[in-house]
Amino acid sequence: MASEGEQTVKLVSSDNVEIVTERKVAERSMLIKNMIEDLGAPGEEPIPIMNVSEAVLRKVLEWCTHHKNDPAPSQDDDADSRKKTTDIEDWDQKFMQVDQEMLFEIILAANYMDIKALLDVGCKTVANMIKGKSPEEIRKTFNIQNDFTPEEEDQIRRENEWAEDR
Amino acid sequence: MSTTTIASLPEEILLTIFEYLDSAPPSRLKSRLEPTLDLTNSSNHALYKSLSQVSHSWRRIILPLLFRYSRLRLDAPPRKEWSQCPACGDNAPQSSSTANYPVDDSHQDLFASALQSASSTTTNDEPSRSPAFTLSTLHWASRIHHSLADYLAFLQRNNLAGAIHSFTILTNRMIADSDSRRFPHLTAGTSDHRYRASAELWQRLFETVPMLKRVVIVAPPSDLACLTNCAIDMFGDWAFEDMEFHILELEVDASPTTKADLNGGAATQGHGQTSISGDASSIPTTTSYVPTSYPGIAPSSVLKIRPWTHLALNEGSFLRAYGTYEYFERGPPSLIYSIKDCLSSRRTSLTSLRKFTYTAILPFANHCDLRGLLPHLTELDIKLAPDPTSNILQDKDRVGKAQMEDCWSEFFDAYRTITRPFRTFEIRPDGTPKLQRFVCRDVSTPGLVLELDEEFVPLCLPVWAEMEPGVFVRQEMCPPQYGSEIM
Repeated sequence: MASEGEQTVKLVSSDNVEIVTERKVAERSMLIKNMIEDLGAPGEEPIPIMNVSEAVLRKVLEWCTHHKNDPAPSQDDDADSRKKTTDIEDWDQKFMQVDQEMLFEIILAANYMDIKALLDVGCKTVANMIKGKSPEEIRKTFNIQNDFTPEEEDQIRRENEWAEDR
Repeated sequence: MSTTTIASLPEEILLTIFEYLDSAPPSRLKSRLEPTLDLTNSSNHALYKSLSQVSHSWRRIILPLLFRYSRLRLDAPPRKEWSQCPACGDNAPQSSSTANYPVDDSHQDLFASALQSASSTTTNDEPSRSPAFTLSTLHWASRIHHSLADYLAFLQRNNLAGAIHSFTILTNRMIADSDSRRFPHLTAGTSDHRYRASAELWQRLFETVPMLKRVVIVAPPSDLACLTNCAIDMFGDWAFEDMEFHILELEVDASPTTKADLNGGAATQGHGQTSISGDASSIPTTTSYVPTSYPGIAPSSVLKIRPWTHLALNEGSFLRAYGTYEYFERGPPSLIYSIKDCLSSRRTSLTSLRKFTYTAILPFANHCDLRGLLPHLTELDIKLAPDPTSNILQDKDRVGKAQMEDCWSEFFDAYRTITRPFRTFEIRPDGTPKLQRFVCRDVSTPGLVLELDEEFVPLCLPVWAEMEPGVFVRQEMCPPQYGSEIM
């Protein structure tokens, strides 16, 4: 029997494309890892990744391949240090240089497939796009409709006086 | 297929993104600088405020993060709506609050009794103030009440009470005082209605936001005393012209504490006959909000409303006072005497205090006697020189007639006074004082390092070790016991 590292698994995207990948790569996703553990006999049964299209799934697996040997995050990392910085390592930064649609697809896929580290990189990337911007610049960047009336904007300015400047 | 945009992200992911953009509040970043009314303002881009103005859905998500550090300017202009108040508005007094303008009983009672005592001829011997002054304090009682009421109504409308971690209240001088008194608290029961309004402010704030962990007050010294229901001595006030504002900061450990603990802590703090928690309509009695003597703190003071573990005082600049004749004879108006008294006498309040932080610009050494506090502290954090970013000493107007050699001699003397009780060979055989950590922030001023090092030589092993510049950490409870012959 092949060792776990060399085993492969079959994934099926939402648009019904079958992708074969290393088990170790696929198991960066806790969703897949748990499914394999529940199903047993990996490799035979294709695993449906219902919410993720082929293009996005390939992109996600590219990330998982690069990070397949990363140590598992400890519980402490999760709670504290994660929040402190929006620094992103170089390879991940390049990886995230995609159009906004793909960026948000990756974030949604990472969330659905339960890949915490990728979700964090995605969130940090969006955070960095927001940094230093005015409300109008943020709306422009993400194509968000201003749904406040002028009266509401006045009220917001008044209410915000009750918060420290940050 | 619809395109995926930022609007496709679930709220909890947006929240995670926003959390990455968190930044320290200005009130923490600037707490050791010379106090100003800008304490909670930032010259940098206020990103959370920007996020709150993007769209309705973003505002809803960011509000709990934005208002984690909230603030209230007491001296903001009164709002038109307040004039409708049946208790203190234009048509007051009305016998009872109307349905469309509910007023809580104690606010109603404050104005009812104030008007009553104003109309009755004062034949008693109690000290009182001019009618104009009393009227001003009544005006401020109204502003104190309504500015808080508006803020609390906003919290309740947006269900934010549980999100508030820190509350800063700021005010410039409330009353330009031609009728100044050495001990303002003596007239607090009869003719300064701000004391009662302050007590009610804290009571209502903590009823609505019971989990509040931090309170900061920025005000001129006499107004700070009034907002904290503390007695203060204004005798030397005239000499401290450049000491405009003080900052008082109170905090409970951020470690998870249940509501029951907080209330329990407050209940054991000895409120005398008055009860702070509970019944919202309880009318406070004068004994609860007027300090009985100097030094002293009234039972309903914010200092006693929670089991605070950390108290920080920033008293600003002493510089101008050095220019006065025999400056060292004068003390500045300061809460520290009432706080020390509170800790050293029977200590029925402030029983949880463990950390004391003191900041000032070149205070007199005789003002820095902290022996009364030391027995209770595990941590002491001191900063007595201008911040390295400050140019106060280059500013001729600020320095005035002060002799710099006097200032620096007081500075080193102050450190000697502060550290003497816990020098390695002053520690008693039972290990007291039990201070665990002493921090001197002034080592960040390069020109002071050498002389400070010399000053701190007696903070030596085996009791103390300097873990990083200016940070002394207790290693051993007791010094080695030498025989008396070698001492």
